[in-house]
Amino acid sequence: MVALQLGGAPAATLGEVKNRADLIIFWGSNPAESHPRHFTRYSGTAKGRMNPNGRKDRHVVVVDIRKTPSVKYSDEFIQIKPGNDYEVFTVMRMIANGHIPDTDMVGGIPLQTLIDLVERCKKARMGVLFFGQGITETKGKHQNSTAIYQFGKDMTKHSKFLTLPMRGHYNVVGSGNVMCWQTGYPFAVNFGKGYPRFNPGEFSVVDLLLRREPDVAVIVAAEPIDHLPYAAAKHLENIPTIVLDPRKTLTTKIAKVIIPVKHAGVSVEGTAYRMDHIPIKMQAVLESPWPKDDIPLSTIINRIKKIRSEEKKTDGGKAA
Amino acid sequence: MEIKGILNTARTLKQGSTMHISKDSPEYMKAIGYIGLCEQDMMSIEVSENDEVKLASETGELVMKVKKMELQEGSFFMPLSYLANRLVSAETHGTGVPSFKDTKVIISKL
Repeated sequence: MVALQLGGAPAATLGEVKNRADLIIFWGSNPAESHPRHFTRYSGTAKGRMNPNGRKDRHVVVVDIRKTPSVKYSDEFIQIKPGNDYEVFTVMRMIANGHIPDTDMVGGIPLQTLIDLVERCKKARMGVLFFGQGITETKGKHQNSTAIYQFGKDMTKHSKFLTLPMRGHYNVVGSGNVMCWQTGYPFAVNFGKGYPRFNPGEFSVVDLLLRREPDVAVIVAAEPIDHLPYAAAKHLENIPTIVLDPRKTLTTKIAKVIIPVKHAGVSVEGTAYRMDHIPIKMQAVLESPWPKDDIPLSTIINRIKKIRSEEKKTDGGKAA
Repeated sequence: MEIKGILNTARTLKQGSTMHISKDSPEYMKAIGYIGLCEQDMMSIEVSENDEVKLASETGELVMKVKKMELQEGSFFMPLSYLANRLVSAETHGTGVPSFKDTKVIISKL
């Protein structure tokens, strides 16, 4: 998200990828395990308007620090040293702009391999670089993604070229979209002063928990006890937590209050966003006795408002 | 006898599918409860597959079974989970994102 703000993004939908792309690069992404249907529906074997033969019409490259299960579905595997992505992308941008550095290896990759890869990107009918958390959760973080977006923009001088993040977790894109059009910011939004403020590192959940700032937590369809570093997540064990979830999780185990809710997209209809920001209408397919997430949340909000207004009346408007 | 390297935590198909059974299930525990090492690193600390090793980072310590994997020397692998997250630092360096793939770890034979 931050990289998107810094670098801009040449993007398109996955339908365009399926129909037009003849070069697919997965960088720090392992779709065989993280997005098992991506390859068959959009980026590998899927047949499209300009790719009538599916897999045969595409060249697939995997760049990773390890030989992931995705490698066996690729035409080319390039192994990079951990934490060297920014360096490699900087050199690829140099090559793209006609400067060849005086070295044989960059980030564990032979220079000639990078020259060949850049050439392949330039000549592609449509190239797509999908990048995953192997980029964003290692040394360099969002600056790696920024370098990728900038490389993508360089490539658009020569061919149609897209740089797309492999967003994970059901409807994480929806969360970012709604936050953006409601507050102007995609995540790490603080409403403490009565208006939205944005500052990753200060208002992001891991940082808040590590500093032990929250004295109560409402957790909706998230699993911080399993998914966050324990050094941060353990603070949740010491404060009151209200968890809204249709299932028993490690986080419901430490919750002070558990409110079972309908499973979004299974027992309640709504909209979920695909990783390419396409909103998908979801139908309810199973009955559930529990309420939708918004019912307990609005009940809590209304109750707080009522208590606040009663407090105001009793102290003559002195309380904030 | 110890080796130093970088721990990479990531999704695996088994981790992703067994977590929907239950996070208490033996299937999930089997899917998340190992440390992947390359053959050279296993030889350096003289361990075989399924031997237990001690992992230590700045944040925490764990004892895990060894699984042989195709990795670079000094690059270790664990499926993402609350176990791996005992080792991952919560420091985000102002980005909001922890370094799930960049944790310095020392592995020693038990």
